[in-house]
Amino acid sequence: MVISIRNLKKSFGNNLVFENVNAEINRGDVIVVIGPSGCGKSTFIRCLNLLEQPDSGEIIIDGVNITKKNTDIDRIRQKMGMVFQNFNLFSHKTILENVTLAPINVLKIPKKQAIAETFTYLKMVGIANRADYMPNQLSGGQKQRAAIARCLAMHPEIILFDEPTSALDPTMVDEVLSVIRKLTKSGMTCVIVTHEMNFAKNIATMVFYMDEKGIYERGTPEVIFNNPQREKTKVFINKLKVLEYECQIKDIDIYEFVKMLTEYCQKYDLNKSERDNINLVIEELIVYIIDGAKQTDHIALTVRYNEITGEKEIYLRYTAPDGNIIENESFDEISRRLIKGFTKEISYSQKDNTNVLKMIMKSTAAEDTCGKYKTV
Amino acid sequence: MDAFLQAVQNSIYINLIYEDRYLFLLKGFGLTLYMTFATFFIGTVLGAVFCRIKLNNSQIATKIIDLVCNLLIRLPTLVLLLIFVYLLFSNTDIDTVIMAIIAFSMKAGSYIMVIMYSAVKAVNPGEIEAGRTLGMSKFKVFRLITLPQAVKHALPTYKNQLIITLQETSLVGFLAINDLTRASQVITSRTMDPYLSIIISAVAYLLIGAFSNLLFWFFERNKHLQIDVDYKVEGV
Repeated sequence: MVISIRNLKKSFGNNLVFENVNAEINRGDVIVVIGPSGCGKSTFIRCLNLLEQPDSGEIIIDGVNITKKNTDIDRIRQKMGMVFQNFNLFSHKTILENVTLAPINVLKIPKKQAIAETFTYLKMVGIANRADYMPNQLSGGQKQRAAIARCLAMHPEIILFDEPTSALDPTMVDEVLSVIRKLTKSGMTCVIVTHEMNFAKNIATMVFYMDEKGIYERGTPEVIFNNPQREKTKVFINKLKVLEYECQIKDIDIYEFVKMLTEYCQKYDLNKSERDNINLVIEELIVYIIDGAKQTDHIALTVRYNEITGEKEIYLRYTAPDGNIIENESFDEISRRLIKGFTKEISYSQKDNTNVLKMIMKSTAAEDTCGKYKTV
Repeated sequence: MDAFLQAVQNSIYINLIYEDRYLFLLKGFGLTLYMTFATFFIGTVLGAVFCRIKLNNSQIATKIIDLVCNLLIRLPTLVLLLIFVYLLFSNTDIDTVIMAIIAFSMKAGSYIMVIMYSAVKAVNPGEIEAGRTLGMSKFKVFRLITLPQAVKHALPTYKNQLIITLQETSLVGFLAINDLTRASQVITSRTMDPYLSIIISAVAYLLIGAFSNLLFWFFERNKHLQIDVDYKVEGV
């Protein structure tokens, strides 16, 4: 099954979800769709089997444009399974009936054969001993595996996974992921929306990062996860937490900034000494810039915190005074030493008349442990 | 003791046997039964039709249905009955019983519409989507997934509705139709002995209620595929 998506656009009322989405899905591909919540991942995947009707654009499956009004969507859907976040098992039927219902009623497979097939699928997902149970008697992971078996019973050529592990508690995520892994190894074409980054990295042949009302960046998992090219992808993949502050020199309000910084540090669980260090470095720099700049000059501050590595970066952009202010003759010697003491790397660059100072803060973890021992 | 037995015997004689009064009661019982089940059947059909229209998601049709049903539900049944008989159809020669059945079934239909609609709406929309993604048509999804679950949701209130309909039919006594209640009243007014006939009619109502409960038993049982009983699958 080959799917090509051209210029797909979808909006809910006035709220544009995405537009200009183009993609090709070939047999055996494992496409993983990632992105911040609310960016339209689920809507995108639901458009593929017309659970959501796209506003415009084309979805062409094996040469048939399914967005046309007169297409027999039921026939397409038979070849296109879907696994939901909330499992959506038929709650009035046993697991066995859940799996056999569609094959018996749609594919017209004889009951006996359907039941026999069901057991091969239930065995594959590891819940053959739960065939007679009602869905509400199963755990979340078992429900999701039953849903996958139900999907497989229709012999689909492609399976769409809409956040299959998001409603599960952490202990059950693995059992579902391993079933999906098994499926992709057997050559099944899959489109997976997920928040499990490690899983995505290992399983995908192609990763779509969705943001900014479309597919913002796409590439192999190596590129997207290890070396993302665009800014928002970097922020998302590295779990960067960003604090931005920008104003003219005359409007600068140090207290306002300190308040923002404090809130930011509380939100992302940075401790007091980390906050104080960042604050101190920034204050020393700002005080110097205010002295040497005109009222109309601009200053912009960005603090970035990488949640995975724990790295904290400060970017300072200023229009005047020119050059690397830390190395200026007139820069206070004590301030310079303070800043160098708190940072492990300082780099300077100039772009479009704007000076950019990038500082990477030293990790304070070592100091913290010392502090602990002292108090003990 | 002898005096008591004598009194009971006397009472049975004047209430039931004298002038074949038991036949009068029996006829009333039959009429009540007929009105109840005719009303309930027509009401169910009406309710299903209303519900179907409402599920079509047409704004105007939904508003009209809601308006009509609210009107019917808010009017007391007796007032509705009087409106039908003395205002709307006073100049026609339709049988009063038929008219009463029409009035009752419109009222019951409105209630049943609400019951059915909320039962259908209570089915998890995710399951309907899941059915559709498995390639089932809209109708198949309705028949295999929505309907069985909706029936289960609706049954308790639907059963109550039958009992309510049964009890409402006793209002036709106001139109001089001799149903069960009125029959016992008439007998009482002749004999000045209310005990027996009232007890008999009460027991009769209870019997109809119990019997109708049995009718629903059929819909309430769970039937699931059973591997060992239905199909022997090798290697399981």
